[in-house]
Amino acid sequence: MDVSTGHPLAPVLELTGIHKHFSGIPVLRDVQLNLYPGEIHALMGQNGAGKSTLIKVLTGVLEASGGQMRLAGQAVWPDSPLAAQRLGISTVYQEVNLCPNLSVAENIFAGRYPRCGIAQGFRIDWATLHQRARDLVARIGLSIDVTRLLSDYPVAVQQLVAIARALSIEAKVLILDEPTSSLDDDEVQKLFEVLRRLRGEGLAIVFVTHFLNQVYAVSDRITVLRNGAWVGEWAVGDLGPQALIAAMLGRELAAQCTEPPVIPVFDDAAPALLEAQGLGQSGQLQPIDLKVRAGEVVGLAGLLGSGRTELARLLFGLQAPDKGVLRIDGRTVTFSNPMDAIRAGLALCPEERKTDGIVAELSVRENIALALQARMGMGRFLSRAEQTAIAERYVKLLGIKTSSVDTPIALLSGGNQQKAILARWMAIEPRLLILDEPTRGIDVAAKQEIMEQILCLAEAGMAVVFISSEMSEVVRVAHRIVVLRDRRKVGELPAGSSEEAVYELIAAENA
Amino acid sequence: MPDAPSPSSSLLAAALRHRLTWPLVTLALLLAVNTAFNASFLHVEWRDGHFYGSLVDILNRAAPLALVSLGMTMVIATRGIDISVGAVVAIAAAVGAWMIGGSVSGGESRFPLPLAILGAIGVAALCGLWNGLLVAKVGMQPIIATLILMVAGRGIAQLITDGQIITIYYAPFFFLGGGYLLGLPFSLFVLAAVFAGLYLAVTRTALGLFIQAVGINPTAARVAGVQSRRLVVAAYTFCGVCAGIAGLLISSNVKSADANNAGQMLELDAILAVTLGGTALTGGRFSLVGSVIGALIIQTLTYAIYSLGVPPEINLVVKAVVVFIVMLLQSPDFRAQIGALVRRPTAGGALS
Amino acid sequence: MTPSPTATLANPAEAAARNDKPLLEHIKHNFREYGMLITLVAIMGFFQYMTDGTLMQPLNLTNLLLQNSYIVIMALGMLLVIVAGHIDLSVGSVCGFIGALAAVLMVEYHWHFLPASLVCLLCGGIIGGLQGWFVAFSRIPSFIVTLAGMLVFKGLALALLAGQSVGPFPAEFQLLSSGFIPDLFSVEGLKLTSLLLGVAVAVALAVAGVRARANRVRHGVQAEPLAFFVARTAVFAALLVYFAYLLASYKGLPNVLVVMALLIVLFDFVTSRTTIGRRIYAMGGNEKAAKLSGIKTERLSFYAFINMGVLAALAGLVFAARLNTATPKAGLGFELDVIAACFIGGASASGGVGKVMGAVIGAFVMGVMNNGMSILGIGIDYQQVIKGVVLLAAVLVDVYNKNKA
Repeated sequence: MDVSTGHPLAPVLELTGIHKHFSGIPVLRDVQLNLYPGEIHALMGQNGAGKSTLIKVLTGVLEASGGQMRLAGQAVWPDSPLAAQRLGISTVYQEVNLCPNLSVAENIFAGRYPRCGIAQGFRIDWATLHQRARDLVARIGLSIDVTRLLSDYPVAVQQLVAIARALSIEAKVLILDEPTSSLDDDEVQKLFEVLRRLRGEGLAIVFVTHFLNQVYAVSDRITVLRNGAWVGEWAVGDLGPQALIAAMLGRELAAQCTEPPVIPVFDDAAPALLEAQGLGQSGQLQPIDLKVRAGEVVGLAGLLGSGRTELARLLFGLQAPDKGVLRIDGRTVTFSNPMDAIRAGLALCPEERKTDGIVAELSVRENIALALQARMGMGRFLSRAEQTAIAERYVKLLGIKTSSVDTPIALLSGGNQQKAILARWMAIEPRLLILDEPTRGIDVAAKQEIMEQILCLAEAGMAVVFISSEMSEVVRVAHRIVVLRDRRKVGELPAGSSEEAVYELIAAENA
Repeated sequence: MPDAPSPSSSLLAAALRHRLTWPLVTLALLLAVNTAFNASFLHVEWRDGHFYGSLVDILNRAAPLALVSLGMTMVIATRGIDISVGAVVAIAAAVGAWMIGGSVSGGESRFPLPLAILGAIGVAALCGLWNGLLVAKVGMQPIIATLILMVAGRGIAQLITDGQIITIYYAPFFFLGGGYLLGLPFSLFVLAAVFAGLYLAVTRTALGLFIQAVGINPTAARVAGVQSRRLVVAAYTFCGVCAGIAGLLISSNVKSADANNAGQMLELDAILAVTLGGTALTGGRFSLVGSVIGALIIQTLTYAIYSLGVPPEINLVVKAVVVFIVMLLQSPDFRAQIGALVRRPTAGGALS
Repeated sequence: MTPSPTATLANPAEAAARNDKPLLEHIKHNFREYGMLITLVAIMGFFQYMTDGTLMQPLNLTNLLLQNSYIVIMALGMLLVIVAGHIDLSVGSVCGFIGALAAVLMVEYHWHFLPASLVCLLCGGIIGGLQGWFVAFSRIPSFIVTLAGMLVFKGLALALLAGQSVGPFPAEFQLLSSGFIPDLFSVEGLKLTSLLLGVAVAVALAVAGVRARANRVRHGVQAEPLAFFVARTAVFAALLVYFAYLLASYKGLPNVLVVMALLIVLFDFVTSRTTIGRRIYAMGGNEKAAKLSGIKTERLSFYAFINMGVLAALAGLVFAARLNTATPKAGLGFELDVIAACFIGGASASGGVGKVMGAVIGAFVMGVMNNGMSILGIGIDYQQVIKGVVLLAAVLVDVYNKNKA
């Protein structure tokens, strides 16, 4: 069946004109999605593109503010995940949402047990349940004992069980939300075999992922979202990797970039402040070499999921690497917790400010002073006046909008919270500052301020590792750009490289 | 657009919003109720070289509870709970009594008194350390971890006292729980000392900041470099120490160590006091003063029920109902349910 | 980490060939289950030896059963509550309260024991329902709700009894705890009916086991190695008959044992074979996933608490009948024994895991230890310490298993 021309079959799922806003802020604008039976359709976009919001609308978690949804020609509007399931839209999540304490067969039929006994009432027909489970599992080519506990099997198998469960509900549409993040290459191949098999049976599959090579390996068509808007829909043969990346990242309006980019000059001979050799963690990151010098800004470029945050966490001691070695000033170090890294002069401004950053009920002042206080220890306490002084300094420097430094940080807007967390790390005046997506969710003017801050800090001698999905930013400030893709390093580019050069490096077919 | 609020009304609004307001109001109400039923309730006189009266009684009896509540506050602030404090009180009392010895002559004790006191508190600290390690290092849920000591603790206390109730005759020991200093019960000074020490630690060092951070968002605290595990272990150890001191005060007051009955239900009273004082069971922000007021509320409540002539069993019922109402009010789901009920009658109208 | 069975995309024939697991792997896999049972047998053997045979004497055995009957009954309910992810601290107080209610109804108001008992059970259900409502629908942590319940019902029991002990109960009611099943054939020194009943039960269980295994083999499911299965079934049957014989040489099977056995069978059935039972396990394992499967999790929590209330009431009746009076101190500390029994028997603090037989074995592990230590004259203080140690060991194993996964 040739899906790229002419669409011989009618679509099984049509989303048109989907709008979604949260308190007046649009998150999805006029988004469409056409899904045909017997195809694997990749849904792609960067953070904030609206992918997850669209999926939530599809699966009934959120209600769209406008638009239409048609399933097999009928207008539908699922108002809960259960309703979506009943309509035939089944979802398999990244974190397997099954019950580890039950058997495989029981997980597949939880809540819908085949019954026997008096009036088909309350007794479970285990024989039928096990047999049906076996059939389903065989249908996707899996050969396991369905009576064993789900937790006895690795995640890869658990995901296949989740797919089997979707099949048992006679799904018309199967949504896979980042299914391969915790799988290794072999398991990914097995999953793809299963998907191809199901595609052959006529199932429509939505495949949300950020791994480029996987998209090209298994999908038939691609829909790209950017900043909540629909960018386009292509057959996979019609859209090369570079074009895909360009579609996803686009070109930010250079509202801030009226001056020609300043290419920072850097002294290559300076000794390395931090050196990572073959640093990696099985399953999370392949061995990577990295060198950062004092006063240098190293940009870590790559798409979502390429391993940048994992690298940052390894450098900062949040996770222990099982491969490679880390050296600070030439001395080998091992960090068993963040405090070790902080004492060595490192700092990490994390990506997820809500879970890893802000301490919600505490004030802005306390949040900003936290890391500094932690390093000083319990005894030498920053008095309230000192905390206020520090906080006010950074409030002014970074333009944090808050009525006072004593306001609980939870009341600030997302962008201002991000600035406050950044202030926390700047306050300890580290020798090396790792910034993981520091400009996410911040307005254009503020982004500019932060970028200038970074350059200032570097000039003053601080080393900076700068992670951002906004390629234009990375390209503008970095002395060196380290490019990551699919959890490994694919190369380095010098200062002044263009964004295209980065895309090329990411898209190149590397072994 | 309404006029800018006048200074007095904004002051009132601020006062109403203060976390200590409702506990204080409750306490005042209880004192009023007590006075209504017993005209001489507020009467304090100087007798036998010290202050004497119902209020003094309440303060004296509330001291051990307040101590345990302070320790419990620290534990709850880290998102934990310690239901073994009653057992630890019994253990501390037993150790103290054993080290002092029950010699009827009352003239000497087996070990010097300071050593006995240190021994009792030390053992209590070990109990707290045990709990802390189970929670922070092994990773058990706090209620289960402390359940173990709650079950075994009384047995341990009984072992120390050999199954007997050790009566203490050593007079200097009575000073702890029954003596008076400057006219006021000595136990108040003990409480004041512990409170002052804790208060200074919490406000003059980073302890308060770190504990709150750990309780509100343990992950973020860890990323920021806070040593959360050590803090949790320290919180439970401190709770043990408080229970130990309380055990000494209690046994000194009744001049005996009863491994079976000492500290019965104390953990429930302590949790209740902490909650009444404004600290949420989910951890994070805490109020030391609130917990002390909470302990006073419970003690005054007990007194009120007693003076009302109500049988002691209703004490438990009332206490339970109070806990319950506080919990309900703190539960967002319940508030939503009540809110929905309240809002229903106003249908339509000029509401935009 | 235990080697996970490879899920190959191979043909089913290969799978069928792997039918009989090697013996060692089977034991390792079911270690927890058999471990508890073996521990119980070992403890019984140990105390039998230490007490010079007193433990297994028919009189003592009967006492053992009677002393632990109410704990076992409540453990059945507590298991469901724990599996659902909650906890109930009020069972001891409810037990005492219902005992007090029964005493007041039967002794002071001279009600017939049957309507009085039914009213008591109903009351237990209502109490459970009240607590369950707040836990399930108002989402207040079960620890808080049942803590409050514990205080309330302790106080109400005191109030109801006006601080006194009330009794004695009518004779028919006492039979609940102190009665034995009637003996139809009189043989000298042996209650034949009881013995025959025991044999019949042993045979029935063996037959059921054989059929279940045949079923599994027919469906190509991994079953126990044949030799192991035969040995296990034979040993169980022999032990059952032996116990029946011991009991028969005293006064026969106690009524309360029959009640317990019926309840155990019922709850084992419910937890392993009914939709409602398995739904509770799903809910305890992953509440979100259960909700997505259409399982009404709030209702299930509610039912679990109602069930707990009824069982606590029944235990209260059994306890009061045994003492023949209702005292204000009845029920003190029961909840700890019941919760400990569930954990020792393999329930997990996070919910979703736990077996009825495990809880029963856990209750008897503690019961045998209490009994054995009492016979040996070991003080109650040591008993409590040892109880704590056993509980600690059980929870450590649970934590270890969880961290391993």
